[in-house]
Amino acid sequence: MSLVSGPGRGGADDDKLPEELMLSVDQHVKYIQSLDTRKDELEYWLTEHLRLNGLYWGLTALHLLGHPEALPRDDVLTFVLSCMHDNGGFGAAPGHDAHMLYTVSAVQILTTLDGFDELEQKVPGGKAKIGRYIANLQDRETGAFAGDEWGEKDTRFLYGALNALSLMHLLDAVDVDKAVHHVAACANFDGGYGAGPGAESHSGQVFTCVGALTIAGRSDLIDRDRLGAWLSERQLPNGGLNGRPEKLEDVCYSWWVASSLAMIDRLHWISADRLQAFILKCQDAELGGIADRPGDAVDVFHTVFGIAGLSLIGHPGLEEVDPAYCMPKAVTRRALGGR
Amino acid sequence: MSLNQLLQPELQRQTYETLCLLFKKHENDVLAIEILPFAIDDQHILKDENCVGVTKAMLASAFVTARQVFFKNASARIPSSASNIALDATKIILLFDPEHLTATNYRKRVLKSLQQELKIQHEDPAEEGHRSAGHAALATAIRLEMTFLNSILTSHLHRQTKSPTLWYHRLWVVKTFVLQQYNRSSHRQQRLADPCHLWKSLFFPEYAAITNAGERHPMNYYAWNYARELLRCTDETFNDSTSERKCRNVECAKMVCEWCMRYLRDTSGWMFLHYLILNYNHDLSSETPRMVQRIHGLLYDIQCGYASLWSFVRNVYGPRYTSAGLWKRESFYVTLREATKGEQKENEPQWIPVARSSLAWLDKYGDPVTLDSSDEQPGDCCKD
Repeated sequence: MSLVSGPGRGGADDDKLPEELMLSVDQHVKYIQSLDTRKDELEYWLTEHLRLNGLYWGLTALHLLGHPEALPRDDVLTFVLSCMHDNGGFGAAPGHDAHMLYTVSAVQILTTLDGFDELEQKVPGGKAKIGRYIANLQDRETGAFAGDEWGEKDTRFLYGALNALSLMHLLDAVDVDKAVHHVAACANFDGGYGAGPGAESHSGQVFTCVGALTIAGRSDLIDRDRLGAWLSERQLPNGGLNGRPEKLEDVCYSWWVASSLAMIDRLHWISADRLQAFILKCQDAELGGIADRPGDAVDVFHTVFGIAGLSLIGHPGLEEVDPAYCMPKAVTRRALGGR
Repeated sequence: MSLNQLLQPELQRQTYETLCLLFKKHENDVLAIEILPFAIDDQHILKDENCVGVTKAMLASAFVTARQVFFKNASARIPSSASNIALDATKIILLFDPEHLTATNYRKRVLKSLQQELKIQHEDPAEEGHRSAGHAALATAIRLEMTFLNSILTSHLHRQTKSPTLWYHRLWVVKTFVLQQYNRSSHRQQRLADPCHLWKSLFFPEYAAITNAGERHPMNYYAWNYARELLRCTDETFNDSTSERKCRNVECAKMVCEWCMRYLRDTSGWMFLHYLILNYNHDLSSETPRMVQRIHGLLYDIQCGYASLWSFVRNVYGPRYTSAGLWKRESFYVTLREATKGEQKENEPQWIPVARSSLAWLDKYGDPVTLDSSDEQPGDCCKD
């Protein structure tokens, strides 16, 4: 899966907009399918350091669009397994260093494709190895998680760890209470959450913290009104959502902000209609794909988060998305055993 | 961009070699690197002292070669840095793709390996002379690493200046190697003589790099996150020196407040200033009256309505700890209420609705404000 951007661009000119904006499902499916065929493009190599993330984004988008078969299952599984290291971690692509971010994407893909049996066949004890790799990245004193052996800490990694371990039923391998305690320490006075204690509030980090607390069953620790107020201020007059005060709207925040609001039961604190209209304006209806905002080049990252956002606010014809996991609800329900 | 648009293979290799040589020749300099539009000659790298201009096609071509060279030559066994082909390749990779985790980690491995090598060579207590030579060699390698990082993180390369991968790499280098240098004899003596020595030699260059990167890429989350992490790790390392910490905090607040005044819409800058105030309120008492005056000027004289500034206001004036004293929390509320009183009017200045909604937020979520709060002491994390 390549993360090559374009060739499509989001959004027609205002005066060419059809009266009723529609989601161009078939075009988006074709766009995602075409990504891996673009090895002749520079960006294919430029985005090699994210390949496994890209595969998760593309696969998830296809599932939400109702086209789970659009990528060949065996090819996907083969690629995922080729990224696995002996220590249970996954790199972004074969030959790349292992890191939490790619390991989490691997687990999400394996879960979506129900491929853990294939993993065990090729790598006996594989699931346990993955669990150990993730668990070893927890700082047992603070509860925080590093991304890899070099020690960078960020709530993104903590969220990823709880996401992946819960899907594999291996949460007891880590100290969840300590992790929860760490997340609580990342709450700011303005209601938002940052990458670590005292860090600037950021919608993406809010998602990771709220997601982590939700998975751990501790969303009681969230000041829902205060956070809801901060999140609802992300909606701009054009209907789009931004990540922080004074930033531009960006389609990916349709996910980070909306899912966070959904998890704290305050999705109705933003206008779903205006958000929907904004997301639909960001798609390239002809060539497929969704961009960060109208006029910019499309890419698979913004495609999945635009579609996930649409699913969350109830756009017709899409599979239901799980706000804590950014995966189809049908998948997480199966994996977690009927939540 | 299609690979066909890259240079011919022969020229790809040449461009790669030229860039490698450029980096080698200028390893002591911070290069200001810019990507030039296609219109300019695709075959010659423009250079004017430390300014380097290269077209996207050239850089892309060099990247493709660098990637191949790196994966061919990078192995678990690390050769010495002088003849490390893979290490040279990582510079070109990171110039074009600053999120390349594997290339960055390789640079860490090389530095660690050098440190190990020097330890093994000089474990004999009799070898004091060799030990200092070893320290000097490592210090040089670290200095060159920081110079390389500055070339990327403070360049006119938009994406590169915000790279979380490279900002963490910088933190790792500083925590692993740089801080301990300041506990060695030459620095120790200067530190004893001057509590601002650490600010001048260690912190000022770092915060200059951060603000520089913040200008290149506005709302630079990871640069300002590094700014916070730097405070945290140096608090730990130099935890016995309150006068040095105080100098650092005061000078930092001066520098950052000035920067925020110039980049009003930069939420990240304001949030870092807030972090300083939240954690070192006591240390900042000499600087606080000036900060308060400037901020109040922005709010009430200039009537600035930027969400970035008002976000700062909520975070600073919301909590109780800024009551009683220099931040004048109580009188701030009185002034704000006065300025925003009355019904919403049609042609009122733009900042009024912003101010009004912030007051509403403060009333709802801020700690209670009492007019007589003389018992309250400003809280802070680092009491003397």
